[in-house]
Amino acid sequence: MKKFTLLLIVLGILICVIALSIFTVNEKEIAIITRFGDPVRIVTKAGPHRKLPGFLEKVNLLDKRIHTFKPRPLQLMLKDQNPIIMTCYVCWQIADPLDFFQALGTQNIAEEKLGDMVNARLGNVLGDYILSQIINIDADKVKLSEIEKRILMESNDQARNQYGLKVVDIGIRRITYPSTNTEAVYNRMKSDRETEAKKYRAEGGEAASIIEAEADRQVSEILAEASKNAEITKGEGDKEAIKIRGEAYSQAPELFEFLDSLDTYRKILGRETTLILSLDSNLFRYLLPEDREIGKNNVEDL
Amino acid sequence: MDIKQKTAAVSTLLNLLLTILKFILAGFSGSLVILAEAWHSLTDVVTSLLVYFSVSPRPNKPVEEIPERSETSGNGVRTDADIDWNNISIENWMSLAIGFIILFAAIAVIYKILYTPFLLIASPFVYGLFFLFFAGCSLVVSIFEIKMGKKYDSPALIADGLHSKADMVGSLIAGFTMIALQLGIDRIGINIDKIGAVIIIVFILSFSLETFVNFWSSLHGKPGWRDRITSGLIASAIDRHTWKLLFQRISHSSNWDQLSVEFRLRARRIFISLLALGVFLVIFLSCLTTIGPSEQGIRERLGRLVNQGYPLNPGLHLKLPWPLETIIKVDTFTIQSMNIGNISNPSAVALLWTKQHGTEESFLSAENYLFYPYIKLHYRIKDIFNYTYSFRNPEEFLDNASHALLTEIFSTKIFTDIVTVYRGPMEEKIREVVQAKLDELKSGLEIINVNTKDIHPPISVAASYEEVIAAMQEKEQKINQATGYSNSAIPEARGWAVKTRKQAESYVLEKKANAGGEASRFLNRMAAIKAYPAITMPMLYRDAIKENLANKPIILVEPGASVPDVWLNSGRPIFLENQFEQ
Repeated sequence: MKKFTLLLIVLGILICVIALSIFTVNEKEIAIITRFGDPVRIVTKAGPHRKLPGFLEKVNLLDKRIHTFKPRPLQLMLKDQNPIIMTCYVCWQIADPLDFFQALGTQNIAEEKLGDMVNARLGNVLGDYILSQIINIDADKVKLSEIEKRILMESNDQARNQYGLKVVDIGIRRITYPSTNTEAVYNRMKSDRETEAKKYRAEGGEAASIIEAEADRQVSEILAEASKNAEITKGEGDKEAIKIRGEAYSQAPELFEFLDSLDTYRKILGRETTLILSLDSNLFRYLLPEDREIGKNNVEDL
Repeated sequence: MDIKQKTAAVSTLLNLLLTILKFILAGFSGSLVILAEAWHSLTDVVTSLLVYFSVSPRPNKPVEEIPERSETSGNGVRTDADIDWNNISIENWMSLAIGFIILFAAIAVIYKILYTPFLLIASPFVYGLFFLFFAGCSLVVSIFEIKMGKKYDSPALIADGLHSKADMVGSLIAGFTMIALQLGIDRIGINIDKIGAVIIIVFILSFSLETFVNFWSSLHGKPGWRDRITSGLIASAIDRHTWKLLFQRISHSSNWDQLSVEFRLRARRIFISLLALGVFLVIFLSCLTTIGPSEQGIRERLGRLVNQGYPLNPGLHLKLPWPLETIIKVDTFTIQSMNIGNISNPSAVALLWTKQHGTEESFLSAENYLFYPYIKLHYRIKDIFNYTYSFRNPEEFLDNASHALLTEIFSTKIFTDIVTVYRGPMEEKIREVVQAKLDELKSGLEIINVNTKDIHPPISVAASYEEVIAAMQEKEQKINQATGYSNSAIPEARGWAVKTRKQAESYVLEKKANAGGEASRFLNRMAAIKAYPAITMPMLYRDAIKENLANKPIILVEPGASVPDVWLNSGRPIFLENQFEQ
């Protein structure tokens, strides 16, 4: 019985030792094995691995995947003295596990250091650019990707050599103005809008005037044309009428003169007309018979 | 048929009847705990049947002393270590087969427990009463079997009685679960139906485990676990005697040696069976894994990826127990969403420019304007392996890359374009360019859709934008008014023109007609006058004189007199008196 118990204890210890001498690394990790603090091996292949048991060798696991983080937003001065706030993001990955492990150790420290570095590069690089190279309606003049590339290259040079990590990607997440400038921007936006509103109103007036003037012109044209045509028509009518009458009257012009005179008298002698007649006019030749012979040469006088 | 056989037969039939009833009720109610209990009762039927066989005499073999305690190893203790496969009794094979059937039934019920949403069970109180009645039946069967077993010295019958007692506990669990449901325990978020089902599943699993152990033991002719341990355990737990002993142990705090042998045996049995059951359960459950309906899985064996390119699909999967294999489950089918720019407040009724409706992080447009975009990205995980192994947090990368592209787009477009015509192209560009970047860095993500919810200027400027719209309206209004004037003046003029033309035409007609009339009159008169010129001319003359001079004042003047000073003004004295006097 005692033998059996002893066997059990030995077996238990053996199992413990074996368990402490095996460690697994998965596909996301890199392991650095330190023997009393001295890094002796780097394991990058996933799977089970051997080590000296327990405290003799320590396994330090590092995440080999790409990490993404945002350094703090940064206010900068551009070359043309425009202040601007930029937020960028950084994707990084462990390039040299041992360097990384010795220089930085953990992800948090790495990101803090990397953040300092990237923000410093950002400041340096942006000092070479003016606002119209950052925002511009002409897309060819905007140098954002060039800026990103420069920061990436400059950060990478340092990071690879001394920090054991490589910067995979850097991008500018957001560009904005400091809050003191935003009010000015708002006011400019407002005044732009007011200008635009005024322009629309003036354009309305202009368009309305053009339309009205054109209408007036068309009206005048129509009216003038109509009057002209009416006069022509009337003239032609008059011509016709005169012609008709002329043809008739020319057959006996003296008779026409006689009849027309009578008609004229009828028309011009109104009710109120006072006539002053000479007593020796033909009409009264019979009125004073002592002076004249009544009925003599009557017809010839006419 | 002796009395033991009869007892076993009767209890088998009773148990069968109860089981059938339970399955029927399970079908009606849809309750998981009832279904589990029905399967548990089936184990009872199996046990009773095995007891029946074990107490029966064998007709083909010489009747030997039947070791009744091992009801599953019916052919008794074997001293030979070699397994004689031909000599394994039919009961043994049967019990093994049933052990497997019960095991698969248990797995099926576990699967159901995992994937069935909570069902509303109609009138659970009635089912509860049924199960309390079934519990009573099981108790009766149990008392009957134990009594007969004691009377005729048959440990198999006693063991079966204990199992019936365990079944009674199962029925009680089902019954009380139903009554708790009636009382509305589901309303406080406890799915008691599933909890009850899990407890009973543990009973069933213990049964199948015992079956396998007994089969193994009987193959090697070793006694093995003769009793139904779990049922014995449960029966002990509800036995008054156990608690009495336990109470004595505690209250007298007496020595372990002073305890009765019975208690010590019982305590050891409880401990060993609990331990065995626990280990079995842990190993069993860690060999199973389920991948949810919208998930996929990665299998890592000792950290190494073993199914590269072949993700585990939804369903039940076997795996090596921890820590040999790990399954990483990722939700790959669900379309997820992410806010780009600003996050709109879910409580905002409408997204209006003049009201703040979310976080306000300003962006800069090409003409130096500040504004707030609200864009929602729909995405999905398209490659579980890249998703898991390339990025520590792929979503964060998606968020950053989308923001960066957005900033780049905004830096070259004017605000009014971004708000109006450039929305669609912008969405398309984000989808294409960000997707290219996601693929380049093997993030395993796929953008399904980009939705621009809202882009608006600062609230304090929004009113100015509305003012512009008002001015545009005003412009339109002025143009409309002018067009209206034009539309009325021109037709009016046209009407006047027509009128003038018609008037001229009627003038012409009138003139011509008059002229014609006059000419005709003249010609007629001429004809008449020419016939008698001597008479007609003076006549006409005098007619005219009469007509014209009648009733008119006439002043006759002597031709020899001097020219009179006249006023050609009627109604007044024509000659001045003094002139007359002269």
